[in-house]
Amino acid sequence: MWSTRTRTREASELSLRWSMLGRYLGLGVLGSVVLALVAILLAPSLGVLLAWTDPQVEVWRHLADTRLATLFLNTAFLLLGVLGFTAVLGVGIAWLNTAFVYPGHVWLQYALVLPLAIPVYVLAFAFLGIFGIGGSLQTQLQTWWPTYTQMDMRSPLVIVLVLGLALFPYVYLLVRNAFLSQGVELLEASRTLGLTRYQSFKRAVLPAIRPALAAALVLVAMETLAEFAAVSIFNYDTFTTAIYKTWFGLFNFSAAAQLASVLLLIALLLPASERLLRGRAHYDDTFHGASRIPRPLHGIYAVLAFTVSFSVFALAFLLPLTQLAFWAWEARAHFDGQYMELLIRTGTLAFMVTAVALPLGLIFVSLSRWRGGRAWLTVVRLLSVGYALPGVVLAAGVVSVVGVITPYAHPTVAWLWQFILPGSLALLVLACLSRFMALGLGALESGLSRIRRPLTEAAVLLGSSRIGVMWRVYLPLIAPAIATSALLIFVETMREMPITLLLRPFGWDTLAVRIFEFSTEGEWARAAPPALVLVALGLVPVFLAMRRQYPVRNRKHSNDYVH
Amino acid sequence: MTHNQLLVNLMAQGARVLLVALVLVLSACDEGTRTSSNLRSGGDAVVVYSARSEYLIEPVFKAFTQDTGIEVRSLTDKAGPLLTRLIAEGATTSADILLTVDAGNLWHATRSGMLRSVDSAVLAQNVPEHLRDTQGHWYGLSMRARVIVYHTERVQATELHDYAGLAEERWHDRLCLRTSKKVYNQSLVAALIQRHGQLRAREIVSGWVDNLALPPFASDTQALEAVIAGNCDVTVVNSYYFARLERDWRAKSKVIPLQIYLPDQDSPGVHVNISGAGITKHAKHPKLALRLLEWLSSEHAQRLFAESNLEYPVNARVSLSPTLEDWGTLNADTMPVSVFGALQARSVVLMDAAAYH
Repeated sequence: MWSTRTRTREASELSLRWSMLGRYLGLGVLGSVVLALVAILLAPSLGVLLAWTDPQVEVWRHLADTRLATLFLNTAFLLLGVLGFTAVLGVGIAWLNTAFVYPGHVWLQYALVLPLAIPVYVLAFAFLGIFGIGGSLQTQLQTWWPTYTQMDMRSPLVIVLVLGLALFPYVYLLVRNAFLSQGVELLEASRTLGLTRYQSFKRAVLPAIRPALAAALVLVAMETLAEFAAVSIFNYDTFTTAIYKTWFGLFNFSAAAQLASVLLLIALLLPASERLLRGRAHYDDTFHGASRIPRPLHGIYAVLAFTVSFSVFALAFLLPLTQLAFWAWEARAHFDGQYMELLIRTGTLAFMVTAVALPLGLIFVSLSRWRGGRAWLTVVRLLSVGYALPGVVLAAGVVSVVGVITPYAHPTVAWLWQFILPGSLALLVLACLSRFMALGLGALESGLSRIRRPLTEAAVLLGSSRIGVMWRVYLPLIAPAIATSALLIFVETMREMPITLLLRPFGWDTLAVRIFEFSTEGEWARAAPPALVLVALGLVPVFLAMRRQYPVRNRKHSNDYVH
Repeated sequence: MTHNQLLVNLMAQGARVLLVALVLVLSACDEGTRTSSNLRSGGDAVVVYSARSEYLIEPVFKAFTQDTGIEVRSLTDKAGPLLTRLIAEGATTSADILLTVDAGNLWHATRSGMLRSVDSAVLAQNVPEHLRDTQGHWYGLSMRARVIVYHTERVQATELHDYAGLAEERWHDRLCLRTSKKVYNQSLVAALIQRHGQLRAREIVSGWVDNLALPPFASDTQALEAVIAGNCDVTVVNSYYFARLERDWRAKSKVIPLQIYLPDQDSPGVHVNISGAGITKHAKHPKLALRLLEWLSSEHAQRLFAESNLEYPVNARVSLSPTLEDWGTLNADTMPVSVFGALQARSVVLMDAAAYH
């Protein structure tokens, strides 16, 4: 066992050597490896920027004359609406389930993550299938009251509601972890200083979870920007639908890619604007002793709490699931043996992408924290940008970049290069990585911020000099972040559709592909069985990940601790 | 251990896991790569890039394999991304045939130089002239009509004549339409531009927009549901969506309160579109691909292909399915469908200007 002084000297020598290496070799080995990785992951997004070499002025002018203003307004309304809705809902529900105990909270707090297993567009068409014109509800109402006129449910507010319900789990997950790992001192101090419950929540609790909330909202924003299928079911025109129309209607891929680059720009500006709003404030979590003990609710409050949580769960998960089950029953004749194969393929792809994205994300986040500085932060931001691109644009970008490089590929690397040609799984995994790095990075960043210097120093002071003990201190702290990150990447890849469609090997279909093929022909009933199997598959990562989250303290053990 | 040491340690662990993961992933990827490179270097199957869903084409391809012994491999996706992939792949593509819906997509593929010209007496005989490319780059394989569907209780068939008629005052607040973003409407408006000229077409579309009872729908089926629900009285849809809905209602022993009306029957004929295919420029098996195309235009295949989606066959010698027979004899417009592709961009611009979204 080495003495503390020796270890400290070793450590500082190690850091010194790394930084000297970096300084003398310019980028250094580390830098160039990272640069290569970044270039590979960014290639599809950059492929989109290449389109600007042929500016399609006519198309832009036509858009400016007709739809551009409406597109901006619609997209802005959708973005702000969904951000606001998910922020309020996510934070509210997360607080409800971490600060309080009410009957049913044990399973509800995990159940509220389940909406992640339903693809957004499936939620959209299930919603319209229940509430829309000709849907189950209104048709039934019309049967009872023949004079009832069915209402068109395709208003912007409803779209915000549907997207919000589909995306609030991001906020819920990240903010929930932040709440659970937060110390109770700030809150207690503010209460003893005379602030009311509400005031102390607003001034002591909320600001401390701001980094987690910001990270989650950036993810929600990018997913909203990139969402095509769900908004097109409502026939709501946003930037993404304009991209599709320009590409498939005007037969102009260059102009469509140029429109997509606007989304890239917004994706880059989002985190920057968050930082701007934050100003000079620094949200450092002080090292805490005890975590919050949830307060039990009784009587009317318990009922209210259960109702709120359950309604959200019902609207976002149970109701669409019921509609899907109903449709699947109608289409039960078509259920055949191929579903097992589809399931395995879907799971395999999701697992592969997660297996690569997670360690990669960990490396990048640790790197950016270790080296510090703006450059590394920008690298992390850039890597996340692929998430704001509609999947189909990213897929086309990948294919175009590969197509451009292939003629120049040297014969000696031909054996390796064939792994990258369209139709190989490797390219599919790479494209999914490009798209979903943001999820891994966001969740890891907000989780890794839990590890603070004071914690490290305290552990050293207490004589923790073995690596094993180190991991027993740190692992519980980073495990939830890793679990959340893995969960998000897995479910997103599992339900990913456009990239899988374009880049999959022959005969290699996933559940999402099957759902697409039926829904694109308007056969919702036949799209329901694969959708249900997909939801069932999603239960697995949700269950595994939620077990690794920060534990909610039990009132039973409160006597064991002094606080 | 300092904070920095911990981070370096984390990175090292991450790198270790990453390496293991990469090894696993790459070995798993071997499967897909081998198949694809096999097909690329000229395996033994005809490769089809198809914009028609797999459940519609698979039974047809199975029948082809049974008949001829030639295997068919297909990749399904939307027409646009498929074409982008085809263009990007260039000479390394494994695709022999591009199968897609809507003449506009086929026209665009030809323009992009992705299809090769094919001279075939069989195809020329089976596929009418207006349903194929003049240079033989692509051939229609099934036909769909864009028809008017009305509510039997609120509309009399005598009130309807043609698409332009739906722009009249009497249909104010009674019309439901599908979005202009869907290629079927883009082709319809392209046909109107060709037939009546830009100005008149613009008038008609503006008239439609004024008559809309509700904002345009994302799908034909949604529009049909709206007519059933009573929010509007009349709509324009592709024939097979109506056929499908009628079949679903019949399966539940209910009578659908909708009826089909074939507009412009006397002249110039009902607007029709095709699903069709062409052989790719860099096809590795052009002869086999030609056999598949010719087989698809033959009577046996036509019956299968058309019936899988309740469409009209292009081969005039094939009889219609009973459902389609019930609608009456179809007098289709003989305007060359390639026109739709040529005028598609103009029609999109026109619909944007008329505020039809």
